[in-house]
Amino acid sequence: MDYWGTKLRALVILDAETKVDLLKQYEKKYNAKTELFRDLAISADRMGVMADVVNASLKAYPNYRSLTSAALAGCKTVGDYIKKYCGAARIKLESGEPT
Amino acid sequence: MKAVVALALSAGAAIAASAQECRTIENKELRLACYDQANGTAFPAATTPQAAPASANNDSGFKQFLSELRLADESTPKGLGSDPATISWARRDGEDFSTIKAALIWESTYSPFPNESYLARMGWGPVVSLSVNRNSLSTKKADARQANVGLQGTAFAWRANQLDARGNRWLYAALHSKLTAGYRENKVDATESNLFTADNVLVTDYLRYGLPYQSPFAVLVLPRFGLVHEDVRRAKAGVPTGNFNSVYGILKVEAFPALISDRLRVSLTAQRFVDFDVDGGNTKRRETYGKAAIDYLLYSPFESPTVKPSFGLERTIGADPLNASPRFGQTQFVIRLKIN
Repeated sequence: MDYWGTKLRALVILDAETKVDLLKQYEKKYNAKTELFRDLAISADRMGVMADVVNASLKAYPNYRSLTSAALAGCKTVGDYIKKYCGAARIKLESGEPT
Repeated sequence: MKAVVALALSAGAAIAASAQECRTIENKELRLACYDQANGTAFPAATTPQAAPASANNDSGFKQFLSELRLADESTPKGLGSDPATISWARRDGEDFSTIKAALIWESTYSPFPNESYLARMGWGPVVSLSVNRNSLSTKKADARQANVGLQGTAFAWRANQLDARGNRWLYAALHSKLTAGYRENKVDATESNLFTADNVLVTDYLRYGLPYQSPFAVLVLPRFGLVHEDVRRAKAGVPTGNFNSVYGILKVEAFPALISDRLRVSLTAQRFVDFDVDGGNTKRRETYGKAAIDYLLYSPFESPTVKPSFGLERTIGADPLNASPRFGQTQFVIRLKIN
């Protein structure tokens, strides 16, 4: 699994938690700077309790580490979340990413 | 409709989408990744484990530790995402007054428990905090320092099995819990206490509406409840010692009336604290605490400047035994500077 596939997996999870079309319009309307609370209505508490779906998705990576609720709650932007997801999956970020 | 999110979210299963669904993704790299996953070519690692880089994101231990530290205001309940630490200072009749509400908090990014265990799957990890709650501005002064160590994570999460027609996975209810043991020194009452706390935040999609600052009206409701055991070991004369077992409930409402102004935020907090068991001779406390605040942003909420100034009016009434704050009423005009 490469970085782009991992980023896609991370976004698919977030897309299901928000009412906006995050994935379809990624790059056009949304990007890594998109704020989770302001733009996607996902509060810190709401992010925190996503730990079970995020960690279930990370099982696809052989050397993954489980993310804590606190780590997810600490994400302010989509980019913060992608970084944490890739870190847990032990997938190296592409240069200049996440965008 | 968000057809693409039909990509399975189930436990670690290879994502399966049709090539037709992938076509709707704007971003080129993500679209290609979607085709790869739809064709089943993107998961060699899942079936044939490969050695992954030991430190994929160059996160050295110390750098990682620093990134896990944060400064926040823990003195009033706000759920998982606490407000920034506040420090204010005033000089009156040659005397200095100050309020400090700050906590240095360390929260682990990764769960220390085995990946397959329930605690790791639900995101449980350690938390350590050192906090100060000092207020010399009001006539009833507060000056408490506290150290806590504990575990926090999601106790349970109950969500829909299927995505709805809009491509959303509805969260019926989830509970975020934090179990801590701590030590508190209250300089005003000269008390020293050991504390055990079980704090819980109920999160549900039924209690949120709209996009903050964008929808004509958006609201977020956050119920919180918990148990506290406090063993007051030492106190000055006239202040009770012994064990206090208490329950509390908190309701926080945050509203964003963009219909009036997209820079307004209104928040209301109501807290009830009741002792249900105390050592003989001590009086059971029944305290109510309330806080109402209205804030106006001095920057556009659609920009992300480094310094985010805002001003507002804040009214606080009642006693907050959770933070050793005595019964008082205070109205403050506040100017906030939030630094990104």
